[in-house]
Amino acid sequence: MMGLPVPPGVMVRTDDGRPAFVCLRFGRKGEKPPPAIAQHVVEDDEFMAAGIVAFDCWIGNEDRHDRNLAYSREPKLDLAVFDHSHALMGCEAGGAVQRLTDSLDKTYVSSGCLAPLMTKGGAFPEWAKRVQSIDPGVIKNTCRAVSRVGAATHDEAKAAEEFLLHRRTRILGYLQKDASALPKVMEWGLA
Amino acid sequence: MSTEWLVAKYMPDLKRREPRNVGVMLRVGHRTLSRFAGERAGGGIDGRFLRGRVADVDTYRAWVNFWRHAVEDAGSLREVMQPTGDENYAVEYGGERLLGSDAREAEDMLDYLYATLVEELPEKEALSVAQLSENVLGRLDIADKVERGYRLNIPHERFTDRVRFDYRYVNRRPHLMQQVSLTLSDERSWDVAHAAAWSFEKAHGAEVDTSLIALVKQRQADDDLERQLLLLEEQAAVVDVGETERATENLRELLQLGTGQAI
Repeated sequence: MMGLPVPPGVMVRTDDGRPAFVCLRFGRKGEKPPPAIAQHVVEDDEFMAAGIVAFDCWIGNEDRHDRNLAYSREPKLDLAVFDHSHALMGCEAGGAVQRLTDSLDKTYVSSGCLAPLMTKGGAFPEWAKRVQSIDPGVIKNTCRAVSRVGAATHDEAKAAEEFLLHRRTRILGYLQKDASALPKVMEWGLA
Repeated sequence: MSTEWLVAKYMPDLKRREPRNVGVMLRVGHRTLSRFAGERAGGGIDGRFLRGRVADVDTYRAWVNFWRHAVEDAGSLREVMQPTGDENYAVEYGGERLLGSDAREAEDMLDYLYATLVEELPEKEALSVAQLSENVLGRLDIADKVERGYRLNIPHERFTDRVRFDYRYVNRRPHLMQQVSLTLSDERSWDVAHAAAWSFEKAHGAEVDTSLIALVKQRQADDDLERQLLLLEEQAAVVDVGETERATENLRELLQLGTGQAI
């Protein structure tokens, strides 16, 4: 929806009937590329790096590090962004609704590995626009579908829906509010 | 100074789960050394030597580059560990040696670990000039007769300098030998060539009837290599220890073996 290189994934049922999300194996011949060197990601494609920062800001991801980014400069292996399992609902069992409610306007910029390395902010408005352009109906449907298959409770899905819809139009504001997390960005390119 | 090492592994089939060792990363003090399967002189990975060993050579190259970067950056080697799990590539802790220090020892240890853990018969290009030289001396059956780390006194007006040679062997006359690694296609090979040429020049001035021999490990031919070899040939006989059989015969002739009695 946003245009980030996220490998495709699907909802499945495990052997014991529990719902799960699996990401398809990616990389050449199904072999996962090495973790990204964050500096290389920013230097080689700062536009895409800005997209990842904006995406993590939207979904409340505090866990973006070199091992959930894959990229190689030489030889060139394409960037992949995966494993956002600590975003939205967090990783504390039963703590999802509390997290989503309490951190509705938390910036979620400073905790990733890319933000401190970014030097240009000109791409952020474009990514903020892309997040904003995602149809609210799609977000609602997705959250409800997750609840229907039993991957989240009704309350959790509702809180996630509100979280995403609330933040959807505020990405640029969060980035500016937490500008200290982007210490090398001097030019924001904002109107 | 302690020495720690990691072992890089590749698991071709995640169902069978049979990892193979593909490299060794070693840290001695602040210095990091590594060697990987398919690695050529200068550090590049030659895919021709990996056929049938990894599914995708570029993915393997990317992992090697990542590991090299990671061990250089890591405060402790243990930070780079990545246990065998659901990925084809992994890094496991190899071990630690608490004694031993100098740089050459580190190279030898890397050679030993690589030969022990990764490839029983390491390819010629994976061996150091020291190992290749020892190999040739062994084939000539004089490995236990040569003096290693010989210091040649060079008198100056106010002091006596002591220039180190890797080997001294006396048969009819003294033979002084230096290992010269010309494997890197940058300034480092020039530094090595200049240092060796300087020591040979000093030996010329100090000892009259001494034969001087450069035991060279070469990289692929380029203009600089040719000039480096010419520089050495001005001062010494040059033996390419990378070509084991030819080197053995050349050195046999230079050391006058078979025609005299070793002392």
